[in-house]
Amino acid sequence: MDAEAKTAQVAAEQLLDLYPRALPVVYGFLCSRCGDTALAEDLTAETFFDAVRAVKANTSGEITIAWLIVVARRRLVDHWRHQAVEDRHLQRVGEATPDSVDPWDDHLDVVRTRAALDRVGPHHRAALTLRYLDGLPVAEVAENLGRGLHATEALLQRARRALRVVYVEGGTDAG
Amino acid sequence: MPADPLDQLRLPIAPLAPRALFAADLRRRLLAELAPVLAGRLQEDPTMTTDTSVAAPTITVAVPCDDARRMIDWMVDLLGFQVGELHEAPDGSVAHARLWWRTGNVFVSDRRPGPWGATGPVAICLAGDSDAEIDRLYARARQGGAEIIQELEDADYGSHGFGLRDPEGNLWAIGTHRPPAGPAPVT
Repeated sequence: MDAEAKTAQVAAEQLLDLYPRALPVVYGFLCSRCGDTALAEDLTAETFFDAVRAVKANTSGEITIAWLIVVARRRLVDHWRHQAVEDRHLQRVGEATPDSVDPWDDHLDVVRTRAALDRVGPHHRAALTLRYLDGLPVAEVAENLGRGLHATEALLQRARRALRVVYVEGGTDAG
Repeated sequence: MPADPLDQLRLPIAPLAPRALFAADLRRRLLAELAPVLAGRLQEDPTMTTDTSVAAPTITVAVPCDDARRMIDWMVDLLGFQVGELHEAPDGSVAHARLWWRTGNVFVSDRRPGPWGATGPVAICLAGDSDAEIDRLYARARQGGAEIIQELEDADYGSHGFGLRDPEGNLWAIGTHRPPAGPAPVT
């Protein structure tokens, strides 16, 4: 038995042993970020199959729940990226002017704001979710989105404006 | 820098149990995908059948076969049975073989004419010691191309298990369910 095959075996056993504990964490993470249980199931399955591919290719390293969340986040971002491509034909809703005051400067209605996240466009939703729901620093948001740091900061500014529009007006944004 | 009010949106990850059917189905698919990687390990894993330090079993299944060697290979390769003894008849057929697995025995032989050959297919139940061991056996069975008559599932009586048909037509129920010997326990 060569060393590579042995490593793959160990990783495979780790993945199987971890599965009962890891599954609710991955599924819970995806449900709370995408708000759609059917989609969360699909993305959960894709996450574990990504893990299997990494095990077989010996690229996984030690299998941990934290690593599976990283994989799940990547699947989530990919989903929103594809959705953005499909939505591209939609007209943009009017954007707020740059010097408008954010409605949450006085008081943030968390429930209403999270609900507003459901209605912003996929690119904006991805950026806001990673930055605020997951609490990732901007540099990590950029890495997850596959964009440069400045481009991500600009995207976050546009995303916040879009969030403000749907929050205040109860409409949708196509960004 | 003033605090960003949107930081209040921070949502820690809360585990959430998905549909049982989805969880079981995904586990089966993962096992099937990982089987080729696990199979090598299963051949050399001695921990699957070590607790034989019990009194010799007082009931044994005896399976006369159309092809005893094919049956022995199937039981050894797919289920991890080990050959305790094997006696050949003068014509090279298997007169008697004792195969053991955990605390039990199965006798395998080539069918002879006469009353002791007049048997039909039976169902044999194996009790594995953990869900993980059952998962490994399932992966091994899938990898080996065994005929699966019952997919891996959690039965309502509490057994995590699956079912196979062997080349002789016997049925094997392989799971974690292990009823005790003796009268029903007092509750």
